[in-house]
Amino acid sequence: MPQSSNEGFFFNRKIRVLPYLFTLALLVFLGVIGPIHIKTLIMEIMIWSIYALAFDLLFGYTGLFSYGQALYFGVGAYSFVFSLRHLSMNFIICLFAASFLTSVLAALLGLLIIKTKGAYFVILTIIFNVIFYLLAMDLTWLTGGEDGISIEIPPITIGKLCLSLNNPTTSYFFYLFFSLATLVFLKRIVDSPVGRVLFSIKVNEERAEYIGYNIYAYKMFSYVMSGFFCGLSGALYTSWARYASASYFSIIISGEPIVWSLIGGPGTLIGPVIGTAIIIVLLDYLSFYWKYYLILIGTLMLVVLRFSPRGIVGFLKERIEVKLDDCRGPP
Amino acid sequence: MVEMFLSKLAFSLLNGAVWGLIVSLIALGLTLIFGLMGIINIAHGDLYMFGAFLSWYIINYTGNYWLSYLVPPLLIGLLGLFLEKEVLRPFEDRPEYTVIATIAIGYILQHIALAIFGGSTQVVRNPVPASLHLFGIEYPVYRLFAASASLLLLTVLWLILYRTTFGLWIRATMQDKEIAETSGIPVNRVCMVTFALGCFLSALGGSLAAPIVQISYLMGFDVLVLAFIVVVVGGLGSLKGALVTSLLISILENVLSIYLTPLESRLFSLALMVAILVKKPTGIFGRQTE
Repeated sequence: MPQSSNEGFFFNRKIRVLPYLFTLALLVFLGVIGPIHIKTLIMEIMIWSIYALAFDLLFGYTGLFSYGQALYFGVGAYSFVFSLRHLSMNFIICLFAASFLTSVLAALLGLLIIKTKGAYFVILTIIFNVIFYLLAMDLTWLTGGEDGISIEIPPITIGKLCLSLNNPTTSYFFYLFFSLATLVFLKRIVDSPVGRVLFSIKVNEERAEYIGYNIYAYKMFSYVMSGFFCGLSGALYTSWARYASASYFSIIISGEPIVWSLIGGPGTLIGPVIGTAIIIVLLDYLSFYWKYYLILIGTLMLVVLRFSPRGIVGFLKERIEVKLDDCRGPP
Repeated sequence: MVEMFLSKLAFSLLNGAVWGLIVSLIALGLTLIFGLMGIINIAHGDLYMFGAFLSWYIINYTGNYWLSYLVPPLLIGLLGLFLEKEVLRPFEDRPEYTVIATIAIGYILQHIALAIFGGSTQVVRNPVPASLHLFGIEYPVYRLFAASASLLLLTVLWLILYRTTFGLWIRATMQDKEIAETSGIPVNRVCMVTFALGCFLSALGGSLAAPIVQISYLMGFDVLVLAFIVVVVGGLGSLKGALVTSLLISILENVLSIYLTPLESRLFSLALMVAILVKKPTGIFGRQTE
């Protein structure tokens, strides 16, 4: 559950913030002195966790289950490539242009998708994803098809400061900034009154409607926001891999954030980030030794779903809250 | 020129009808499962893939074609019994969670298939290599066999659903689970058997399609998308809708592919589906509720 329980251990803001500060310090420390392969892994986790966060806003906080977010990931990637090619501006502006374009597309498709509910919503998101995947595969002159397009990212200079993604340390902090910014921004959104309304839609759509909220507009907001961040993560991923291909649109990419946020804990924001980190690190080592890792991932998903549908973070929170109740004794 | 076009047209019409009948088997399973338990079975395409792979395996090792139509659906049906009872039951009627669970099942099935059967594309030898002179074209007999087998199965399915007590139970449970339960219908068992039936149909579709298509561990998703189009346009939970739309869509795609690439004709039918859904969100034959 997204609301922070305002009691006991969690009431103490200073203690609550400590683990985050520690993690941040560790990340900065690793960024400065970490070996290159660790940095690469962390960069990958940071970029994908933006994507997981975007999905979590949609599923964990609004209750809209989309199995087609790869559509916006891919559109973000390609709009970044095209804006880099044709706008001839620095790549940070291109990043935002790409995310903005993606959110515009999300708004347009949202007009068709948002109205539907439940099963139809899920299936429509899959269908739109497939439409864009097939388009990307078909229009090879534009997208490069399965082979994709490689890009060069020119460094930008601001005064004496030179920002070049070719430098591993610079790019590490660049991606760290974006993932942190996304986390903080989304945290602000879900803790705001708008976030409360979104959560009420997830818990009980009909009641939220009866209270008088325009649930259509709120769902649209969540969908467009999610599209924006999916686009951002697609663009960032392209800038990291220096490459975009039609496979970014594939349904496999749509399935990833579902796995990550489920395992970490949907509706907690930090959960999906943790889930992303766990799965990516796991796969990094596992897929080297064992080709059939999806068997393990699938089993893990079923186990989590059965025994703790709120994921690792939800599970831990529950435990800590129970413990606190024990300490407090009978009321 | 005209003759050439006509023969092409006849060929693609026949192909569309054959493929449509096979797809309707798969889509029927999907829509039955959804209508009864609210499960959106993402793994349905992978069950189809498993059916095709198993029948390829059986043909390679025993050479017996009849066995290849019998064993895979039965095995997959048994698997379905297990899946419904042990894995999916807690999530029923919560579409999001059933999607997650069936995605997981699909992942497991895909990589088990990859581990057992390998990653390369396989082809099953045509069991009936003859061809028939039909409407001025030579048409492979096997496809006609597959079509008539599917037709036979659809008839049997219709008889089960509308002429037996068990079919009555299924239809009653589809309409209202609680009232069905209070009138003494063993709802849990009905759900279990129906899920298994859906898996059976899907695997049988795979076995029938095996000599027509190329078999790989990723083949399930294409069919799943087609089945989704069919089920959504036909209306979730509607059997008549599933049959009619699967025939229409696959004939349309096949006729279109005279001029377009298969990819583009799929795009066309997807766009058509979206248009229909915008006009009528519950599908053509969909129930008015919800």
